Amino acid sequence: MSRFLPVAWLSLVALAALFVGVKFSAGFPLEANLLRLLPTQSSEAWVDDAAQKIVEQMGRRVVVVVGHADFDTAAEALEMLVLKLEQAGVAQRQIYQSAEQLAALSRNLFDYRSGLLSRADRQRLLAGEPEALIQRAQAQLFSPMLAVGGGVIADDPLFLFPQFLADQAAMGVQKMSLRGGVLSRHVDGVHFVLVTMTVSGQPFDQGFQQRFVKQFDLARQLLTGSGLQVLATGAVFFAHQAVEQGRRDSLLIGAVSLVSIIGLLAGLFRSGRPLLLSLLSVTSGLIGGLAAAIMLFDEVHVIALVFGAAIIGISVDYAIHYFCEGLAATTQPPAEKLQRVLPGLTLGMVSSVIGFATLAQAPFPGLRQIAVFSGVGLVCAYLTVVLTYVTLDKSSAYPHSARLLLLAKTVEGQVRRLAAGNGSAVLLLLVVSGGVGLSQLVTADDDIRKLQVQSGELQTQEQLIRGLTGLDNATQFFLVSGANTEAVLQAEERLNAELDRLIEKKVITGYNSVASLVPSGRRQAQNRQLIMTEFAADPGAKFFQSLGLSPELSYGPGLAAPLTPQQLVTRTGAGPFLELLLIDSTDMVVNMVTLRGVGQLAPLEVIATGLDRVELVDQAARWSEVFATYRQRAINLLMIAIVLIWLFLSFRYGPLVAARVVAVPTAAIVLTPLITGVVLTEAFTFFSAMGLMLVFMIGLDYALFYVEASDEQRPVSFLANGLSALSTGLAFGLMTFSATYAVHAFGVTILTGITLAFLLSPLCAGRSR
Amino acid sequence: MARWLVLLTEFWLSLHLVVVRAEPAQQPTGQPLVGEFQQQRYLRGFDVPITSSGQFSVAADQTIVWHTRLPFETRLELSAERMTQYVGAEQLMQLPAARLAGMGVLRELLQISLQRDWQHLNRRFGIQPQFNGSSWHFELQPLQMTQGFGHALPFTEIAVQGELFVEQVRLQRGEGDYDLITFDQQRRLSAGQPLEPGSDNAPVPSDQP
Repeated sequence: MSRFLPVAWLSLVALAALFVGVKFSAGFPLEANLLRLLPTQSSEAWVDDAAQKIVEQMGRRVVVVVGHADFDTAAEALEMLVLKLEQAGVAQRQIYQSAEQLAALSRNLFDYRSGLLSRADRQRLLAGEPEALIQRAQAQLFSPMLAVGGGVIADDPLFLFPQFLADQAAMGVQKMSLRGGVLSRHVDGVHFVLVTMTVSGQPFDQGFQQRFVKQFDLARQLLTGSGLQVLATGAVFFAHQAVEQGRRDSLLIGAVSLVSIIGLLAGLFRSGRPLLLSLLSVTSGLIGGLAAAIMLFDEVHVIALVFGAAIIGISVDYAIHYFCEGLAATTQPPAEKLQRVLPGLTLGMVSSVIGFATLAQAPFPGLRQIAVFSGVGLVCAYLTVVLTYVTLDKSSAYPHSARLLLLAKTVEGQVRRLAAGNGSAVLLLLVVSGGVGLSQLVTADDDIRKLQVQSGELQTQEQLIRGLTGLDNATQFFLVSGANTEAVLQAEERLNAELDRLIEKKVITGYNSVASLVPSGRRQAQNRQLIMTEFAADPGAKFFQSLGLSPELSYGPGLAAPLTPQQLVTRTGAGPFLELLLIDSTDMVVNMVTLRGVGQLAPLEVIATGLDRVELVDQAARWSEVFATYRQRAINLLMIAIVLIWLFLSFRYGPLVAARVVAVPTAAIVLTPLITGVVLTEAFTFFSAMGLMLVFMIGLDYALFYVEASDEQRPVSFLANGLSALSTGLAFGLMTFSATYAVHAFGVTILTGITLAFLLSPLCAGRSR
Repeated sequence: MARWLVLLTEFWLSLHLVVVRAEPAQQPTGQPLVGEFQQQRYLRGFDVPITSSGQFSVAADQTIVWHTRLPFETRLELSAERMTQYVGAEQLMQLPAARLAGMGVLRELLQISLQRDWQHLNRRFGIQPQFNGSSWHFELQPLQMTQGFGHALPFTEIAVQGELFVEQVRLQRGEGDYDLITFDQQRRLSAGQPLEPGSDNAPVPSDQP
């Protein structure tokens, strides 16, 4: 073979390595957001836009709680931590966390007080019972604990506005109360103070994550050692950990794979060259796959990286089979060795690429990344073996471990005897059909909450903060849409009335809606009219007269125009409900109504069905549903891939032998979920389905190498498959210990599947060739 | 969003009252005290003061009952733990003491004054009363008032004067508003004697505020 091709190919690989290196030095574009694996979900674009905005808002929130036996110490420490983060430019205190901001908001709302009634006051007035409001006002007017000044009393002698604010607060987080300007709670002798911050960058941006976590740790270090407890939670912490975990996982898998390959090859061949050349093909595969993924997608998802690292398990097969080819004969020139294994390698590579190409057809960003990474990686590893080995491999024979080969011959002989005749075909048929039937026993679980990193420390902190603050992670909310703001606010008021009933029934504990704070223009006008009507006659008129006031004087002037959410945002710089205003375009307005303490979902669904322009979104369920859909779709794609590969292999082997070859990895992927699900009680997830895809590809290689080998070579092929399975199994065995459930599920599936595929591989050769 | 709503209302309260540090319950001072009061509330924008009167009592456990009889009957109970307001027999509102700015300082001042515990006054607020014969008076400025209460109180000044008992308290608020409370007919009761003899909690028709 000319030297041009090896040099040209290796130069190309070197260029790809340079490209990846440059990307690494500029901050590796690793994506950790699990949701970025998912495609857009809804047929209605505005729902996706709204959901996306919510995810971004939630993702940028960080809650920090500081605890100490002394309140002032806790408050000062929290303030110092907040200042440090603000000075470092990584986070800002959220609006309405200071007394000044709240005062400004109160002042702005006060101007529109006649349209703002608490739910109870409005009900009293609607019921024609103004006396209760008068009594309450009188009690406060004469109380030594008067809460307002003369100016305010003249403008609001019925104390309606404080009631309105208290009503808003009743919907809020009730476990914390304001003290010294901060939200606090006293539990078991410890004062806990809380602040909510917004991170300045993208929580899923790796560079920002590192900067934020570093600054947070620095700020926290300044506070430790004085009996302070610092708790924090937020997507940025989880995302940072997910990236670190993913990086560790992929490095570990890669490293263990390489080390085990080195150990196995060194043990078998007792020479450096097979080892170095194997590493060359594996590295080429990794670099090629990574470069292609970065070029096509700009960034690589952490799951794709972990999955991609697994192609070592396939790509090393090419090298192992090449070198093992020389074990049977005393001497065999490199060109001859390649010639002998080339059909097997090519069939294996093409079959795997067909499988990954099928995977890439799914409209699923994550699957496409995995398909490109793995497919291109395998082609690169294959080309390295085919184009460079004859030139670089100078030896015709390597000293090798005769004992290993003898062992392989013995085991393979036993398995072949078992697989002789048509018994193996019948057995495979039984395994596949029985496995398909029994697969109904396997329970699938696509709950996205179980797919997150199971970090002990972060989860503990989150649980503690939830317990202390009453903040929960309810992922259910309503989207209320309309042609304009007024229509949306009116729809929200209808929804709020239903939600109030659910609070009474203890189905939910609270909700937040824009209309609670800024009612519709129609509702504000009604409220104003109620005040004017109900207090026009005695005893209301008498009450106002006794103070030298009148309803018109206190609640009338300059307040005719209703307040709108946009006005409040403009007047206060940023509305407290800014997070609830999702879309405000010329033809569509969408607001969110968040829920708290959701006990049952069914009553919420009933409300959504009964109200026009109101949609219930269960974000976690929505995402889980998408994972379920794509789990099923991945299985369907795998089945299509199996048929395509069978058709492809039929050209070489004929349909029956091709079916037998394909049946081996198929049996492995059918049995794997049964073993992992029924025996190991692991739930079957989307990531398990992805693992099965890889099991099929690797298992098919085992079958192909085995069936391609001549009778004398089959023990060698069996040994090569064994070595490959051992190295792959070692790497994926480690994944089962991963804290990321997705990686764990992946590892369990592949470890089980590879073992099965290797053990079943001799069944594909019914009779000698 | 929920959080700011809590803050909002809390702040509303803190504009006019002050959050106080939770204090251990005071030891009973011995004999309960009862008396009468007249409260004149001078408010900006009102030509005449809003006047009310009634009876008050300070129980052995320091619970203060402020029973307004005229012009409108309402009863306010201030204990170490909470403030409860009634109109007739109906409970109108109840708030924990920690949420009531001003309540702690008023209770403490009243307690100090009734006991004439000037050491406590000095220790707590850093001032001493001024004496004129048997009468005494002291004024508490905002800075002195904030001591131990975390942040500023809604009062700009509290002036107390008395002789055997507290006779007058002036609560100066912002923007020129103030309350002038005068006490009369004060007497100590022996243990077991009812604090409000003849009190039936019956609402009194309100002719004027």
